[in-house]
Amino acid sequence: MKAFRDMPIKQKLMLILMSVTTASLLLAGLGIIIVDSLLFRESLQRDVAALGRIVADNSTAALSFDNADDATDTLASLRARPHIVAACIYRPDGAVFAQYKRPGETLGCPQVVQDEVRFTAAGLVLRRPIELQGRRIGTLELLYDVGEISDRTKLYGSIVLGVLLISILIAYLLSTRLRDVIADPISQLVRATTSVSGTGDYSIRVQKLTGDELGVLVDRFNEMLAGIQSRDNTSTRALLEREAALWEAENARERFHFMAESMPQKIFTATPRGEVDYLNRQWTTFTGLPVAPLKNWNWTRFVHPDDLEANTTSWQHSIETGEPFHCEHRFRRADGVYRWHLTRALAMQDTHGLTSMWLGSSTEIHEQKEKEEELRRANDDLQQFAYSASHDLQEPIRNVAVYSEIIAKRYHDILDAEGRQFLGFLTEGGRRLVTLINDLLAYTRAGVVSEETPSVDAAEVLTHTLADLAEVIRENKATVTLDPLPHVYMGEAHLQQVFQNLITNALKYRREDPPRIHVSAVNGNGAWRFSVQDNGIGIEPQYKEKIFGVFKRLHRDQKYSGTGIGLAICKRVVNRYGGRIWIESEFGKGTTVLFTVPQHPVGIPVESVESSAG
Amino acid sequence: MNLLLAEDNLPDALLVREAIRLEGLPVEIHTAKDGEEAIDFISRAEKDPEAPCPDILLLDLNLPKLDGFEVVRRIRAGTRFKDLVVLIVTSSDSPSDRRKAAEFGLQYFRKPTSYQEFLKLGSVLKRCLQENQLL
Repeated sequence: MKAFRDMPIKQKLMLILMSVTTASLLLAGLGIIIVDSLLFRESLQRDVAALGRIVADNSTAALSFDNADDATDTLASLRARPHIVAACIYRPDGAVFAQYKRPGETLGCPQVVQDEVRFTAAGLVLRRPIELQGRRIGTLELLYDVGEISDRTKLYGSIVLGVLLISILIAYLLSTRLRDVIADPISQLVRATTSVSGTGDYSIRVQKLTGDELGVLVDRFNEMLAGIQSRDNTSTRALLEREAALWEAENARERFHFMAESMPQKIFTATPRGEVDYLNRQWTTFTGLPVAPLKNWNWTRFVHPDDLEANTTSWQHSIETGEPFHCEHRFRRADGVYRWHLTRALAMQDTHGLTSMWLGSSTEIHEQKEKEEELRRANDDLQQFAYSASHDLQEPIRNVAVYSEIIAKRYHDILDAEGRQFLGFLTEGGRRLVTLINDLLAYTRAGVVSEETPSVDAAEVLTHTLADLAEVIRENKATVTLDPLPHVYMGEAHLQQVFQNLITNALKYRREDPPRIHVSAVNGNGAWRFSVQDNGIGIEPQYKEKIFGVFKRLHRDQKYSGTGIGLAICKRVVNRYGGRIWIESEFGKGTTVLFTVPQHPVGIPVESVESSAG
Repeated sequence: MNLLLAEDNLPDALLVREAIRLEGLPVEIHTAKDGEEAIDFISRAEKDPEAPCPDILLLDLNLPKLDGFEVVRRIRAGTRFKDLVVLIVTSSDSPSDRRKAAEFGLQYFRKPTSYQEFLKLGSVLKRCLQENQLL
């Protein structure tokens, strides 16, 4: 069986075809022979029975007249049938009356006991009565040889054999034709696969010879080759593209390094995990290291110990989140002196939003930082001074004001006219001083912002302010209207200070008509823009900036009282919260003061002046 | 009724007396020139049965030696006078001082800069005494 499995398909086909032909012919031949021999024996039996009746009928007369010669002649006529071996006629008592034997035959009549037609080893045997008018007058026996049957079988056998040989020949010829249809396409496929695997040439295609399953197989095989070929082309192209990109990247890196070297800042790059992988020459110059020692750079050793913790925490945070790194810290110079630097680093991100590298720069800001610090200290001192001065001045000035008033009341009659005039100067001066000091105190307080700024309802603050000013509003017969106002991140007292000053101004710098004041707020650019609009005397354009200065007044006459600090306070408050304030006005028609408040609280430096209050 | 006035500034002390006099309040005024004197006055009252017992304290905040809030802290930490009625009388208008006074539950009177206004202290004090069932 294994030998058959390994045979080429061509031989297999031939073998299958021939075996099928042989088997079917043999079976058919065998069937024909068996059926024919059965049918032949039946017809032989009928034939012999008929012959027996004829002979028996012809012998009736001879037997009834006891004429044995006539009977012998009748039997002798059987000579015409060469297969009759012997024939006998017996008297009723069993004695032989007449008999016939085929010439040269030694066998006699068979001794049969009952009437029948039967095949025996010697041949076909017949025994039947010879009757006259229904009375048995004798018995006929015949022996028929069956050599005829085997002769027929032999003849049929040789015919089947001949047909078989011819069939095998035809099958062989047919199988060579079938090879073209089945074996050849397969052999072609085999040759093609061998060639592809040997040469790696995927451009080879197999010719389609048939439209059956083999044809489909060839088509699929060709498609597969085409697929591999196109994938092969794509990957080759990708390889080329990657090489080009690498070259481009290398080029870009060189250009970047050249640029970085030419810059005054200290430049570095780092891996997504924060390991420094490039430093420009400014670093080595600053730190005094001979060459950029990237392997064990460990930048933290150059950072001032006091700045280190905040620095590393912030850097770590940036690496984890990809957020920009921003830090002010001191770096140790080659001579051991620490210098302030501003370091920023940004994460470069690929198309998937993942950090591909960090690019950072450190700028020396030492001098700027020192100046800022100096300025801040000076500012703090000044603020502190202004606060305590205005505060400590209150008591003596109040004494002057109150007691000059008492003198004017109680000792009025003792003083002469000049004395009373001088006392008037003193009283008025004292009163003005009190106002100035109060304003100055308010101004310094405007610069103080508490650390946490909760949001306040501007409408509520304005309502309180208007309640405080109710009397003045009523005296001026003024109308104040307001649009819906937002919540803002501002100290309540500060916002109130702003509203109070702006509304007071609007009431103060009025024309003859009753003042109309409108307060509104709109949202834009991340800030609320408030406006306080009046129909007062307005401001000449050249003074729009000036009036925000401390103690700046445009009107010296008594009609408009005040120290001129209101707008300066407003500006200070608004600036403190990261907003700005300005004026839009048409001289003679009214003034609109606008100020902004950021929607989100901005980092505000905290000053602690309040602690000195006593 | 004894009123202790802790005030270092004589002109202000005179104005307070004037305001009380004009309001016609039935109080005897004792004065302390600084924080320590105020505390001494109260300690004396605690120890000596003969010494006058304060019923109300008018307290300036900006006092020498011990400032006003320190005086309040010590009084509150004491025994017999820890619930003494205190009225702050000060030049300060600072929000932090007002806040601290509110935390202690104290009334607050800011010294005005005009004579007539200052005299209003009398009515403020009277109301304060009435609220505390001292009058």
